[in-house]
Amino acid sequence: MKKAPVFPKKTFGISSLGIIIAYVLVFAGLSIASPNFLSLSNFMVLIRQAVFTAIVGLAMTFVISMGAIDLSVGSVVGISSMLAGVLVLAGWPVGLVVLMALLLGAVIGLVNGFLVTKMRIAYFIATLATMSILRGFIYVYSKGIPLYGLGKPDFQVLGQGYLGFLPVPVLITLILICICYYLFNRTRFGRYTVSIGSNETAAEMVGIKINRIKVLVFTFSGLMCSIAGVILASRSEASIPDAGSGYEMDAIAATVIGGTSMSGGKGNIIGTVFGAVLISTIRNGLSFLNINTLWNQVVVGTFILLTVAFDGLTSRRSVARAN
Amino acid sequence: MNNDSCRIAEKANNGTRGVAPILELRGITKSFGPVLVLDKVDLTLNRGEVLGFVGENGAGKSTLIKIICGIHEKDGGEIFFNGKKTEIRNVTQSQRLGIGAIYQELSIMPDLNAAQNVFLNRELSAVGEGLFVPLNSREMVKTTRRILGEDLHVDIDPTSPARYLTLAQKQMVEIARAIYADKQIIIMDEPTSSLGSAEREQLFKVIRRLKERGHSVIFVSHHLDEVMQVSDRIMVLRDGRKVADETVERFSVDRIIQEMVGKSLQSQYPKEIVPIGEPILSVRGLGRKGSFEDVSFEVREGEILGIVGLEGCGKNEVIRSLFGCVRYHEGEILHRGRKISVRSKREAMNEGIAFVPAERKVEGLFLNRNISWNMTIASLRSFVRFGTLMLGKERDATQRYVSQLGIRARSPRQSVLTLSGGNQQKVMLSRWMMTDPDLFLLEEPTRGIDVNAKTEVYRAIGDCVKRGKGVIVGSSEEEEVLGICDRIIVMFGGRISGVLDAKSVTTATIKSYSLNIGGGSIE
Repeated sequence: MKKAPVFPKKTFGISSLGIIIAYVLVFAGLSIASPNFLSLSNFMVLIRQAVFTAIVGLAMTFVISMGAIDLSVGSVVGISSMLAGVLVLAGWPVGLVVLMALLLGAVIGLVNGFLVTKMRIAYFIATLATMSILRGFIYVYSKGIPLYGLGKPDFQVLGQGYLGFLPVPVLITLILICICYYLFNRTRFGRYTVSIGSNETAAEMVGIKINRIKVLVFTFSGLMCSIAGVILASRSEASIPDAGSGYEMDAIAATVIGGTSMSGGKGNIIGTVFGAVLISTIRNGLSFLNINTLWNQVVVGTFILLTVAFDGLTSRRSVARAN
Repeated sequence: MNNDSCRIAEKANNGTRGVAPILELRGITKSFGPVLVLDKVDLTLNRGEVLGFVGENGAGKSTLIKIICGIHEKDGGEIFFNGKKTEIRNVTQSQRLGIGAIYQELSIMPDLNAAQNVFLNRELSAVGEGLFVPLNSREMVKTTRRILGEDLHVDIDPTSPARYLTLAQKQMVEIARAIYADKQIIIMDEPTSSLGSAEREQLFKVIRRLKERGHSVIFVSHHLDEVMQVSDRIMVLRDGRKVADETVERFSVDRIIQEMVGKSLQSQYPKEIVPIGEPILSVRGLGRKGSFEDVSFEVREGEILGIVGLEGCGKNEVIRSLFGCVRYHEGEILHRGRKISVRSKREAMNEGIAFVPAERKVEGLFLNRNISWNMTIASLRSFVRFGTLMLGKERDATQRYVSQLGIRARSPRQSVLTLSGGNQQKVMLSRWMMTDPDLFLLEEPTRGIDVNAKTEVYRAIGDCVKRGKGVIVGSSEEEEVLGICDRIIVMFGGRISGVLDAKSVTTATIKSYSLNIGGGSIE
């Protein structure tokens, strides 16, 4: 037998490097431009704002890596926040409230999974429909009026509490990041998810149970969104009918900026987290620069274009080099 | 059109008598980064000539073709068209010169019919011109019917949607498109790789017709016997240099291989002598409605069983039914004497069956993922401890198979997209070797890979049987099956028409059985 070639050990994913550099640049730029931006308290504000995009973005990373899309995430955030509000007002114990909200999210995810597998409806269409239906339910139930008065101390902890210096929602997010990173990179579930995104036929040919993985991924997505929904209700001490609307766009933006390929087969958990923080930093930073915050959308959109164009250029170059 | 073709034919006759060749390349060089891919290559193509163009993968063949088609730009050298110096800077220029390429991946729109495909982007309008004027469908159908029927002698309904056409028919539509556009030079890149023998003969007939009509054809193929059969002249490229360019009479398949490889090939088919053991899989009276019936055979330990037959004979379906890709309606499958059911791929895998599909890139590889990912995906369970993937263990296993099968790669994390076809196929074999199966099902294991790599794949298959595995090879290359198999099953019309001992038959015998004129065992 020939001598085995020695391959270098993996050190650091280049794809994560790009987003980190981008983030450092943005952060440094804002710090120089506005002295008030760079402070621990502002940084904490910015991180707390990033929590929701990060959690939903983590779920979206699984979905998009699989070559799918889940547009219903914002509505799941909304409806689970609404359910949590209703149950808190009805005097249910917090533990049970959280459990029910998470269950609702998971069941909605399960239904999405059923629609895209057994019913063979395209991801975009199926989740567009559930997005609309769920939001509709929220309006019908609440008649468009927010539920106020969720300010019970043991419920408030979830969105407003601190563990030492660490805000509880940030702590929850950190735990979720670890779980997602593990699931995505170190389990068969993660491998199979990305494999389906890379080549669904090939995945089927090696005996992967495609439909099971798809249902699991959508259920996971629903579950994550309901976690975000509960935190949102707790933080705002209210269940607002519009809660979570537009989150799908932020989540997709964070995922794509973080280096996950929209066509599937390639995903990056850490990249998504940085993408979420980047979006939140831009929002926060613009307000310090005395730029009308209405420009937010323009800047975030520009960032999406820049990162994707950069990604396209580099990957095309590496393919050209290989040929 | 008819007048045109007469004129072309006349020109063709003149062309062979000392008039400038239609296309001439002189001293073409091209490099990608530091790698010199083409080194002062000359190419001459005369009117009404079929030029066989061969070389191993990586010899620079496709780069030269792409320069002619205007996809790549040359670094140096000159191009003459009809004796006049020209530059080909982009695809449009190449097309305007009358150069048309027919690729492996056909560019036929499945929902348009044959006529619409022929006239794609060249539609005839009923009145006026422009993007929004009504089309003259009747005229387009009429012209298409004439080209297909009178010029090519093929029987295709120009009004039926292309998705109902066979691959061979789609190819004909594409050739019709090239004829309608009056392409003087038609480049065919591996046109036969997905065709059955009868369809190949049909294609060769059409190529001869094209020649008579004065078209020039550049025929690129790995199938050297076909190149010999269809070409007037053969040009061999090796490592970016032209090493031979002579009329076909001066070549034999062996000589072409020698020129391609640069050394004489000891044996293209290394055959391991392995003792044949107990039966692994027995198939009894297997049948599937409208596809195959009454198929019975046995594969034993250490045995390589070949299944051959024309396109549509049912061989692929039989192989796929053993892996749960295709349902069978009657008969039974026994694994080491025990009756098994393979309703799903998982079930088949659990029985120790491995399947390498012919369409590597479509059904096999995760192209944007790396070697390691592609190798371990079917056996991930064995790399899991406490639910966690052991990445170190995965890397070690990958490394072991990379060196064992001689996969040329920089790292186990290199994307499989960047590997050559041969190395990709070795990755596929490694994937299934890692599952430690009892039986390998290989569909066209060497399709589209070059001569040297083929031999390495055969060697890898030999390794499998040496470990007491059984192998079933479904192939449309009779020679390959003769070279590596112990026994050969020939199928015709969904039935087994002959079971042959590989040591005592010739390709001619196999051919006659696959046309069911060999005094087969049925009827």
